[in-house]
Parts: sequence; C-alpha cells; structure tokens
Amino acid sequence: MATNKLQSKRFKWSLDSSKCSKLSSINESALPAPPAYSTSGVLSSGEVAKKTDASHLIMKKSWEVALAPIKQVPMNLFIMYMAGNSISIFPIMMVGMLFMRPIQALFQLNGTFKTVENSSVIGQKIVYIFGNLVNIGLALYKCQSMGLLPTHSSDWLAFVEPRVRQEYIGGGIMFS
Amino acid sequence: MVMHKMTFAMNKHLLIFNLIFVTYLKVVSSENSIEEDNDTQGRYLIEGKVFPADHPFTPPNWQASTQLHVNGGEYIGFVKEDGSFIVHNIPSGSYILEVLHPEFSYEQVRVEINSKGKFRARKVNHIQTSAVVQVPYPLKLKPLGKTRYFQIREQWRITDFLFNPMILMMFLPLLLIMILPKMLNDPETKREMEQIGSLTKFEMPEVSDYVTNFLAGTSQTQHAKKNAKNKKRQ
Amino acid sequence: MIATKNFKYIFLIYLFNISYCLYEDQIGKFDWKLNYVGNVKFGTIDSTKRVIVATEENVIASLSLKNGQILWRQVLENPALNQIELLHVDKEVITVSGGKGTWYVRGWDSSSGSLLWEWSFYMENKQRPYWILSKGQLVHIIPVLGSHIEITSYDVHNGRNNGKTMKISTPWVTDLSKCQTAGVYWTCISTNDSSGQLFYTDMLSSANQVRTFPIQSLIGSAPGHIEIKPLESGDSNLFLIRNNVARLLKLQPEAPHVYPYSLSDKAVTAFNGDQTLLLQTIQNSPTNKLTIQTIELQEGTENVFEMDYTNEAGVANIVSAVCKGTACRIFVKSNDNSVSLLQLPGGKVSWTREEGLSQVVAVEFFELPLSELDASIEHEFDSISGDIFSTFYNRIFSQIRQLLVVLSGQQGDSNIGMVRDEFGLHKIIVVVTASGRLYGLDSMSGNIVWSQYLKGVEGFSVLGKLSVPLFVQRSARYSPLMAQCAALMKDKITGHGVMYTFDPITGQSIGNIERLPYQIEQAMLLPYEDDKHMKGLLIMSDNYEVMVYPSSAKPVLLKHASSIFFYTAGSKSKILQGYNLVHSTTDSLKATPTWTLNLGPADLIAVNVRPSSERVHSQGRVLADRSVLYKYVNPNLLAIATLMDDPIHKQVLSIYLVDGVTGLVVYSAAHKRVGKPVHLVHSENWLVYSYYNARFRRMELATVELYEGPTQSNSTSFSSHAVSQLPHPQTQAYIFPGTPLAMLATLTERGITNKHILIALSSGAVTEVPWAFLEPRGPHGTMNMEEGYIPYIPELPIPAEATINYNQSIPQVRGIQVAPARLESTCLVLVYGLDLFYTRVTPSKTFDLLKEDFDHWLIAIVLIGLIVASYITKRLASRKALKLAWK
Repeated sequence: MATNKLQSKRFKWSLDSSKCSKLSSINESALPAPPAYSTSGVLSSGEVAKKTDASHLIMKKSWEVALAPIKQVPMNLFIMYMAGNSISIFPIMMVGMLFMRPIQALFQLNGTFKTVENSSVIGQKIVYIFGNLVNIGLALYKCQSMGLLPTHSSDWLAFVEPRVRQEYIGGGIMFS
Repeated sequence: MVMHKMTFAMNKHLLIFNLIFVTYLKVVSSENSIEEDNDTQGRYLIEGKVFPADHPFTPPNWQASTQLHVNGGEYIGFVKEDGSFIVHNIPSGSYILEVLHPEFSYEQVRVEINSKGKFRARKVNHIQTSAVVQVPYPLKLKPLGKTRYFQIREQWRITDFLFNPMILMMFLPLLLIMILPKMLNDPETKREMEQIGSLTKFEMPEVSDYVTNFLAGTSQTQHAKKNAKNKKRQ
Repeated sequence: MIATKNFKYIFLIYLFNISYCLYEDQIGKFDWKLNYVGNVKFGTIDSTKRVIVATEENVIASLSLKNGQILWRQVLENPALNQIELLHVDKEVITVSGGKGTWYVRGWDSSSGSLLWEWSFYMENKQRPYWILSKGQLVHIIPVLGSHIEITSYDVHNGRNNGKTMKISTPWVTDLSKCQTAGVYWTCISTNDSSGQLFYTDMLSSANQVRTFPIQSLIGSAPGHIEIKPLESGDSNLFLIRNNVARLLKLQPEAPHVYPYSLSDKAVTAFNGDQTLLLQTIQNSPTNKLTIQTIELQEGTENVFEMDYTNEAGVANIVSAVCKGTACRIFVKSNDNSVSLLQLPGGKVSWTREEGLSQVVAVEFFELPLSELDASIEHEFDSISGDIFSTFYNRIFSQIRQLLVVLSGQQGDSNIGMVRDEFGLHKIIVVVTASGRLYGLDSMSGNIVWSQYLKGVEGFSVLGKLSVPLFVQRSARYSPLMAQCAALMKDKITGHGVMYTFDPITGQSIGNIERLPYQIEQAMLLPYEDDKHMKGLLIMSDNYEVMVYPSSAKPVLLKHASSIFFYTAGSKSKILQGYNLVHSTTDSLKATPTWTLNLGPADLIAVNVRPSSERVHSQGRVLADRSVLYKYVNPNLLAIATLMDDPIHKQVLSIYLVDGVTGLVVYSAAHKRVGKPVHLVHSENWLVYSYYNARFRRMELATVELYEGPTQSNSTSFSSHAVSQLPHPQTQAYIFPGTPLAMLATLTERGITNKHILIALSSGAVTEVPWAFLEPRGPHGTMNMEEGYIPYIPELPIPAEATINYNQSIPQVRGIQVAPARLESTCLVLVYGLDLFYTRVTPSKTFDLLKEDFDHWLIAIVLIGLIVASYITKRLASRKALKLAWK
C-alpha cells in the first residue's frame, strides 16, 4: 500500500513537472524564471518524465545501489596508492576502512535492497556482492603489500614452542 | 678435531685493513720480537701531566681520585699534587694509556717506546692502526668533559605539545570545520561557490541507467508477453 | 667517508639512548654498593684518628677510627703479581709494593690519599727481598743461601742509591724460613731447636758486625720447635717462639735483652706516652668473649680485659693498637678476614668491617618465600578435595582473612621482612667468600641478613681461581618445605670434599657439615626433583665413583639415568671426558665414559655452558624475505677456549663448541697471535668471546651464532643424538676499546627481553653492550638489511650512558652474577670484585611497567575534565537546539 501511494505521488509530481516543462518550452523566452528556479533541475525532471514507468525507476535505483561498490574500486585504488606501504596510524586506518565498508555492506545486504522491494533483485544482489568482494580483495591485496597478512613462516615464529630437551648435562672443570 | 683447521674468518673490513697495512705490521712484529728478547734490558717511564676540569668544576681532591692505566691496568700511575704523573717500569713496546676519573672523561693515548728508549705518543686509532696523529710527549691530558652517565628527563613543554604532528592534524580540520561555515554565511562567497559548482557540473551518463535500460528492454518484453498470456487466459 | 662514519656514530648513540635509561634522580634507587679494602695485611692506627691499612688486594686505604668508613682508598697494581710488602706510617704513608723484580716505592698523603712522591726500580733478581725502613733509609735485602746477603739502601723519598750495594758474608743463612728482619736487624736462627744459634746484624750501620748468641743462653733449653717472628710495629723486637709460647727479645748492638714474659706470638706494641705497652689476645677464651692482656714492657704491670666479641670465626689478631693512658683502641682482624675496632677499657666493639666480602668466590640469588598471607592462599590449592562447596568455602574464608589482615594493618610488619614481593625483585643473595664465610645479603639494601663461618674448609682451585660451587636443591617456592642450597668445598688439610647444606633464606644449616671421605672431582645438580621437590646432587669422586645426595634422589636418578650425562674437563690432563649413567644399578651408580676430547698441548682457559634456567623465547631469526632461520639451541653445548703457545704465531686461541652428550665438535675456530684475557659468554644459540689481538694491539670481541637452517628437523624435542647436519655458524669480530675483566649475558624470566652483554672493564666501569650490536650480520644480513638491524661498525663504542654503575667505579672485578626477576623486563645484577655492586638492568627498557614518571594525576584530570566537558556541552547543545526550535 505504501509503495502504491508513493507511486501515485510520484505520478502526480512527474505530471506537474511535465506540464511545467511544456509551459517552459513555450514561454521560455517571454517569461523570466521564478525565483529559486533552476533550469538544470527542470531538464533532469524532463528526462525523468520521459521514463514514466515506475518499475524502470526502481530498477534503475536498484542498479545504482548494486553498482555502487564497483564504482568505489578506482577510488579505493587511489586511496591505496596514497596510503603507501608503511605501517603507521593513517594507512592502518585507511586499510581498516577498506575492510570495514564492504564487510558492513555485505552484512546489510538485505537492508540496502529493501528500499527497492522488487521480486527480481537477485541479479543486483549478485553484482553488489561481487563488487564488495572485489573491494575486500583489494583490501587484502593492500594488507599483503603492507606485509600484514600472516603468510610467511616468520609470522608464526612467536608461536613456536621451545623444544623439550631430551638430555641433561652437568659437570665442569675438575676440582682437583 | 678436524674442525680445528677452520680458521676464523675475519670481517671483510678488517681484512682490507690487513692488506693495506701488512708492511707496517711486519715492522711492528719484528720490533716486538726484539723487545721480548731484551725483556730485562730497558725499563722506561711514561710521564706527563693531567689537567683537571676548569676552575668551577674542579672536583676537590681530584688528584687522589685520578689514576692512569696503561694497557688496562697492567701498569698504574698516580697523579701528584700538581697533576704530573709517572708510570714506572715499562719495557719498550706500544701501550694505551687512559686516565680514569669517575666524573670526567679523557681521551686515550697510545704511547710507543722503541727499543732505544725513544718515545712517541699518538692518538688511539684501533681501526687504522698505522694512521699516526702525533700528540706532544710528555703527555698533556685535558678532560674532554664531564662524563654523562645519565639521561636527561624529558620535560613537558607546551611548544612540544603544540607542534606535535598529531595535534596539528587534529586541530587543523577542527579549525576548518569551525571557520568554513562562518565564511559560507557570507552571501557573496556562497554565490561564488555555487557558480563554481555549476561550472563543474557536467552530465555523465550513469552506468546504472545503461544497465537498467539494457535489462529493462528484456524485462519489458517479458512483461508484454506475460500480459499477452494473461489476456489470453482472460 | 668521515661524514658517514659520524652519522653512524650519531645513529648508534641514538640507539644507545633507546636502550639505556638511568636518570640522575635514580641514583641509589635500584642499586647499592659496598666498598671494601680487602684482606688486611698491614694496619697502623696513625696519630690523627685514622687506620691506615694495606691489604692482600694490593690496596692501601685509610679508615675512619670513628665508624670504620673508608676515607680514601688507592688501588695499586694487579694483586696476583704485585703485593704490598711494607707499610710505614709516619707523617706520610710509605708503601713498598710490587713483585717479580719490579718494585714501587710510594709516599701518600695520609689525609687525602694523593700521591706525594714515588720511585721505582727493577731488579733482575726475581727473588722476594726483605725490606727495612728506618730513618729515611729503605734497605733492600736479598739473601743468597749459604753465602752472603746483598744489601742495597736507598733514600726512601727519591730512591737515590746512597751506599750502593753491599755484600755481607753470611754463611749461616741456610733456610729463609729461619730468617727475619726485626727493626733494623737482619736475624736468623741456625736450627729449629734450642741448640741453635741466633745471629743478627744491623743493616744500617756500616760496620755490619754479626752477633751470635746460643738460643739456650737466651731462653733456656727445652725440647720444641723454635721459630722467630718480628714483633709488629715494634722496633728491633723479636719473638722466639717455642711450643706456642713466645719470648720477647730486644735486639741491641751489644747483647739482646730478654723480657721475662711469656706471650702469644700475636702481640702488638702500643706506645702509651713513654711507656711501651704490649697487647695480646689470649686464645683460649670462649667464642663470644675475648680476653685482651696488656703488659707494660718496662714495669711489667699486667692488665686483663674481657670483652664481648661474637665472631664464631674465632681468634681476633691484633693488627695495631694505640693507647692513651688506660684507654686503648685496638684494631683486630678475625679469621674470616673481618676487621674490628675495639675500645679498652670499656670493652666495646666500635665497628666491624666485613672485609671477607672483598673476596667473593661464589654468588647465587635466591627467591624469597611468600608472605604468610600469600602462602595461605597458595595452600588453598594444596588440598585437592575437588568438592565445589569446600573450595568455595575456603576461597571465601581466605579472602575474609586477607581482608581482616588488610583492615587491621598488620600487613606492614610481615612485608618488611624477607618475603617475596610482587615483581620478584627482592631476593636474597648468598655469597661465599674465600675465607670460608657464607653471607646472606638482602638484595634491596645490601644488608647482611645472616652469615655462617665454616671452619677448616676452602674453595677449590679452578684455573687459578678459587671456586665454591653452589647448587640450588630446592627453591623457596614449595613452602612449608624449606629452601635448600648445597655448597661444595674441600677440607684445608686432607683435601677431602665437604658438603654444606643450608637454608639460603635463614642461613641455618640443614643437617651437619658433611665431610666426605674422598676428594671431589666434579658435581652436578640433577634436573629432576624427588617427591619433596628436592633436586639431588651428583658428586664424582677422585676415583670416578658417583654418589648422590640426598639418598632419596637415587631412585629418581635411576629412573632417568638414560637422560643424564656428565662431563669433566681436566685443566692439568687437558682432556675432556663425557660420561653417561646408563649402567647404574640400585646398588651402585656408575659413570661410563662415552667420549674423550684431547686438547693436546693447549691450555684450557675457559669452559662455559648456558645458564640452566635460561629460556629461549624466539626459536628463529626473521630474514629480510620474511622467511625464518631457525636457531640451533642446544642446551648441552659446552663452549671451550684453549690457548696454545706457538713458535710462529706466539699464541693461538682455539674456541670449540662441543656437544656434551655426544662429544661432537659442533664448531671450532682458531685465532693466531692473540692472548689473554679471554672471556667466554655462551647463551641461547650464540657465543661471545673477548681476546687481545697482539697483532693489532687491541681488544677484540668475536661472536658466533649457530643456525639450524630454514627448517627445524624436529620441532617438538631436542636430542643431541639426533644430528642430521651440523649447524651453520655465522661469525663476526669487533674491536672493543676497553679491557674486559668479566663478561656475562643478562638473563630474564622468559627470555623475551633482548639480551645485553655485561662487561666489567679494567677502568672500573661495568658496561652494557646490546647483543644486537654484536650479532653476526653474516651473508643474510649484509645482502639485504633486515629491519631494525644495525649496520656493522668495526669498533664498538662504549658510551658512558651504558655504564650501569655510573661513577661508582668497581676495581678488580672478579665476576658478575645475574638472576632474572619475576618481571620479564628486569634482570638483577651483582658485580663482585673488591667492592660489591648490585643493580637492575632492563635491556628492553621496562616495557612491562608503567614509567616511573608516569603522571597518574594528569591522566586522571584529563579524563575527568573530558567527561565533565562532554556533559556540559551536551546540556548546552540541547539548550541551543531548543532555542532554535522556538525561532
């Protein structure tokens, strides 16, 4: 019901704007624009007006959401490059962010796609998960290049127990 | 015992020095052998004068607390009232003389006495054993300074605190947050900002649009088909 | 080039600053120092309330008569080669010291201790001469047996040779034990019985007339061994001692005057105005009483004083005395080398100096027992009832009791005593001295907690040094069982072994002193405890029999016989021998030789093993490519140094690392043209040794590190028998601009903390050198530097900040002992030589403790301030929001 209302509202709103656009196309030169009116906004609303299909909009929105993680990849790459490979508080914080965001996003997967409730969001979800995984992979790569991943034997050295001695020896220089 | 053959590999650096100064060493070694043979012959004395630290820092009774060690205490000299000292009974050879005082440090000196009783004093250089920087003999030993045994406790200063990069990094953004909104309150700057915003604004086709359009095309046809089916049923 | 070098040094100094942190206000906070003068050889109370002493340690010092404190002290040459032979106290203090033909005559200012004049001479004749100092003339006498004596007299102030060398024909000098100097006379007896003659001649007169008197005519004839002994601090007075009864003679140009008193040979003269007083202690007095007899030499009036003087070491010998009227000050020395000042007629001991502590031969740190309170909590876990309710009840009960104790405030008393502290910094240091006295020292203050004198025993002589092995059989951890420590010594007369077991906390002996019916060859502490947490002591006798003490440890030994190995290193036979105990039966223990290593003509100069309590935390070294090079940590490794005379290279130092179980030589190296002093430190998987490089005339430190390789052959257990391949050694040498007297590596509880090498220098400083500086860089290090690695510099710096004893120089250091505290970062250090110096070192700084100057207040204020500020701003913000909403 709520979505229906929303849709009806949207229809109303888009109707208004389309009318408006028609008006403006006629009298654009004659009349000055009202205060706080921006032409660019009208233009975009005009575009939207062309796609009156509600589901199309929802699809678009959902794809926007789904593609957001992948769009972050170049940005993340840039951050990674900027952070450098030295281990200090800021690079660590950045790496932490790189990790946290996709993981959080994955946990809130259903929450993010709730707003665009539709039967066929599986594709978007897969793309979304894929994007986040790519981001996690990037973060892992960053950790690897910073040497934070315990992939070498030296990383486990602290856990190597001292060996138990099998023999005991005693004695010394003779006293006599 | 087979391992006995394994000689100790000296460090590269040292080896280089070896190569360079082999000739010098040969001279020295022959000298040594002579001096051992004539062990009983010549006994010499090293003399000199130790100066205390300058007036306000001169420790009381410094003469009694100053000692001279030749070759790590093999021969010992004591300082007289006027600071002069004599280390007795030294056969010819090469010696390192150090002044020991608990509060002041002095430079070590190498004193060489040849078999004829000729003295030469030079700066100690353990690495380049042939580099001779002569110092006057009889020795005049002046303190290098008070020996610093202790670390100085760091004191808390406001400048240290303020110029700490962390503090700078924390306060600068804070300042920006506090001041920028004030600046934006000014209508002119606001307008300028907007203009800049409108200038930089340009249209970018959104990927999601493409994807939606691409997918929508198929789905719409599907919808149409479904509708058609529904109609048929009706 | 120079710039980079300087840079390196700056870098190093920076690193040193990281690793050392003693602030000026920490002086005396963690450390204490006890100053000693040594075993008193000569002593004189001078006219200005001072005791001037000359000691066996070749030290001359002045002690305050009031409290016995050292007013000044001068440490002369190495006491092993040089000894003070004559001490003369007049307006100035004159000493004659030296040995082996080299003699130093020095005059000291008696108030400041500074040198007034000195001269020296060198005699080709290495024989020990006799000295006479009288009227500004120093007479040097060398007797030639059966022929003559050579007399050389010098002006004592400048060494001018006045009368040149004279020779006096003395065919009667046949045995130097029968000759003495007394005042200005040279005197001998011809035979050791009453039928002999007494000869004497004045050394200062030019006539050199020899007087001869038959002993019979002087002291009558009686059977008995006769000796002569000069009366100390008396002029020209001589004792003729027969059967422990001494008769005093005054030697005169014409005929000797015999005093009619029978005395002990330990009498001392004291000038009392015009009168000469003879003082002597009477020996057969009870142990806590001392009888002093004074005799006026001219009039013969005798006085006997009895006084309390508790020293179980017995007889106090009078070294020097001074009297004014009836009041006497007597400086006495006891058999345990302690010196005291006694006052007569009051009979009071003014002060005592435990000079025995200047000759420490063995040191061991002991953990203190828990306080009663803590112990009660520990006991809670002793009863393994398993019942939840009873344990719960116990817990509550002990907590309540703890609370009560805290509330009643009685805790203070018990904690002041010898109980363990939270960080294990408070320990008891058991020290054995050459004189045969054992001391328990409080590690916090250096106070003597207990002391125990062992009569008629002495330490073993190992490589020219006295050694008393101490074995910790049971620590204080197992209360109520007492801690137990065993000391092995030998009987002074028979040379048979003596075992003394005692509680190191209280000093009480456990059982009697066990006099063993054989000589001890070597001993080891068994690694296994019996049911009473007691570790047995395995002793090998001179005929290679093996004994175990106490006998309750025997079954434990038999049970583990296959894993216990034993070795001996003969310093005379130059053979290393390994034994196993596999063939032992319940009836007899048997040590079977398993391997032999013949050192050939080389002299054994040092054997070192890793401290048994050492733990190695990190099992490998991380390389630059982040792979691991595993350490070869062999707990059975013996580090051996030998020195061999060589016709071409003068002396050759050989270093061996031998597996003590199998006899396998794991590593060996030889250095040509090097010499003593050689010191070895073996720890973890590395070895550091110092030697004198005669070729370049400098001290060098060399290090060896052993690695197993990139893989561990067996990651769970280590057996010496399982040798797959020899470890890879890495070596490096450094120039060390100092002369080490003793070296040791620090030891910490878990081995996580970095290692530092403590090096006692001849200059009196004890310096710390981090192992990271000495670590061989090897092929792995030089190719691609690992993080945190210090670039190689040939000459190690000795920064003053690294001196752990700052300006408190310690002369004649003989050894260093370390013990871990329970705090991982901290290692306790005792340096012993002439003085005792105790401190703590923290090789990796005190990472497990808050900094001393940590500002608790600041952080509390900041926190409270922030909380308050956040509350206030919250209020303000809500008010503002409200206002905005109304607009």
